[in-house]
Amino acid sequence: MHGYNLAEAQWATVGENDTWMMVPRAVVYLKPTVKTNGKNEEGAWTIIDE
Amino acid sequence: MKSRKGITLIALVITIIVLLILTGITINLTIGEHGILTMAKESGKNYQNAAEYEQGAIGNFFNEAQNMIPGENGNSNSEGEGPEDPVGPWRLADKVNIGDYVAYDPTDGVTDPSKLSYTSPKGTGSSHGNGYQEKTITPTSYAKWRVLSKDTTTGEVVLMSNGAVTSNYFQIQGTIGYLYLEQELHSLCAIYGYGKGADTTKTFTYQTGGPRDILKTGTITGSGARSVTIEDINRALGYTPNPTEETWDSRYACFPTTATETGISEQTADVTLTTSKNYSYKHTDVISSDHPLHDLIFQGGMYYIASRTSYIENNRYYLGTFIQSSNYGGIIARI
Repeated sequence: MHGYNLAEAQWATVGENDTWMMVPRAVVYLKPTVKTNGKNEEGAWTIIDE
Repeated sequence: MKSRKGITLIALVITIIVLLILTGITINLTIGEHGILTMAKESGKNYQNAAEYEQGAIGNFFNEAQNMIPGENGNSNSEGEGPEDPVGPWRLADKVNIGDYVAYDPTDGVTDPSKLSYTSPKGTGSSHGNGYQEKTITPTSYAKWRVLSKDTTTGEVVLMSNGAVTSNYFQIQGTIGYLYLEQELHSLCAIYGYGKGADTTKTFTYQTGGPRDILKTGTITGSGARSVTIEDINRALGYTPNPTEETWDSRYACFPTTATETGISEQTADVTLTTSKNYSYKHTDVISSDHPLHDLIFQGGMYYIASRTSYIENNRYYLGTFIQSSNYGGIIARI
């Protein structure tokens, strides 16, 4: 895993118009004040943003 | 004398034997080791295994990241605090573990629809773009969010998407795509940074240009989201790359210029990339096929494709690097 970017670049066979097929992944920063009242029915922590 | 019609005993026995043989063959073809039903069941299992493997790989990353962080082993409360409030609500950073899912919705509470859309232009040599074609990206409904890191001192929790944040591949092409890739990736990911709970006070920076260009730095403000970077991963895994230990083939793209080698600067006019221009690349003859292939990486403010496995065929590279026969575009191979 070291050195790999999870944006998972893949590329088609090299040709005159070299094309890279990206699979972008995003990172989201949450506010430090965000709270939760537990997990929902899908097992994910809820977000309370007052 | 009466004529007797009937089947002889021998014929009957032979018929029974043939029927038994045929029955055996049929049974084997359906439920035998290579039977139709058996193969169908196996195919379904293989697909399921592949899907689970992919999810497992992501899960393994989060587990590994969790183990790399000293002291962050899932304790809900910081040391020295009183008993946990059984009712809540609780500070999110005090509850989550690395890899936990968080019910973040990037569209929740967003009233300005323009924030939920990014149009990546095709671009030119002097204006950003993906080099391929204009493409508009909007948030996907199936992106799940997992905890990448947390800081129990500040309370900040950082999420990462569990998969792609585009409904299809985001395609970039040629030198233009390579030079502006950082800007395009960060910009399209920014549409995920306006949902309830996102910290929109953040400022993210990107750079455009190749290693021999005058690099330009841009900023994205007002969004709590950006593209994942290799620094995120390395930080989570506690890995510090040491590029000085490695030597690489080096080919790289830069902004097109009418100059030859020095004083590279961005052209102000649209550029048609042709073989007659010198796009300032460095060529080495070292081609080795006995090193592992690396994927696209992002380090030092630039995206690189690191490839130690490359070979030239018909003046073109395969497997992770590219150099066109006209010798523009290219990849820096570097960790």
